[in-house]
Amino acid sequence: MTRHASGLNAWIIQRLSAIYIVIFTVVVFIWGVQLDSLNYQTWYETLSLPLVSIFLLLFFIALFFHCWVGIRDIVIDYIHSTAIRLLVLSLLMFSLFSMTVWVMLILYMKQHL
Amino acid sequence: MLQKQQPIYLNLLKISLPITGIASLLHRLTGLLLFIFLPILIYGLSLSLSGVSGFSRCLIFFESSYIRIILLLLIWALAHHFFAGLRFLLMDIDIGLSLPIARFTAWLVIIAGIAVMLFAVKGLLL
Repeated sequence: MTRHASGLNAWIIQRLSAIYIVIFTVVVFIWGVQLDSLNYQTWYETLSLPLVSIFLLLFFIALFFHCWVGIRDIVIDYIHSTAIRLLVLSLLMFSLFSMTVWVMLILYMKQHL
Repeated sequence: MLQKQQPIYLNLLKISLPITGIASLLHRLTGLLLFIFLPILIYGLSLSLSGVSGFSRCLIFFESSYIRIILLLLIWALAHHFFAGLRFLLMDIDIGLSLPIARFTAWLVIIAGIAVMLFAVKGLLL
C-alpha cells in the first residue's frame, strides 16, 4: 500500500477538510442570517471580492477532498469486485476534478455553462 | 492477499442498530445524498451569477413545492451530516467516548438535524 493510500492520510484529510468546511459553513450561515435581502448586484459583487472567491474556492477544494475520502470509504465497504471498484473510484475522481475546474470557471471566468 | 473466511453481514434492513449506529449510518447516507446533489448546486451557483435573469430564474426555481421538498431533504441531510460530523470530531479528541454519553450525543445529533429542518420549514412557509 503506497503512502498516499494509507488510512492515516485519508483520515487526516477527512478531518482537516471537515474543520475548514465547518468554519466556512458557520461564517456563511451568520452572513446569511444577517442579510435582509439579496439582489443580483449584491450577490455578484460579494462573490467578486477576491477574499470571498478565494475562500469559496478553498471551500470547494476542501469539500471535494472530503467527498473523496467519504465516498471511497463507502465504495471500499460495499463494492468488492476490484474491477467495479476501480471503475467507480475512477468516475469519482473524474467527477471531482471536473467539478473543481467547473467551479474555477464559474468564479474566475464568470462562465455560465 | 490472505482471504480468510470472516463472517460479513451487511444487510442494513435486518440489522438492529443501536442509536449510535443509526446516527453513524445516517451520517454516511446524508454524505452520499449531498454528494449526488453537488452538481445541481454548482449549476445553481453558476446560474445565479450569470446575470439578473439567471438570478431570478434561480429564485423562481425554489418557489416550486416539489423543489422545496427536495430542498428540505437536503437541508436535513446537511444538518445531520454536520452535527454527526462534529460528534465524530469530538470523539477524535476523546470527548464523549463513554457509552452513555455517546448515546446521548447520538440522540442530540439526530434531534438537532430534524430541528434544523423544521426551522427551514418554518422559514419557507413564511
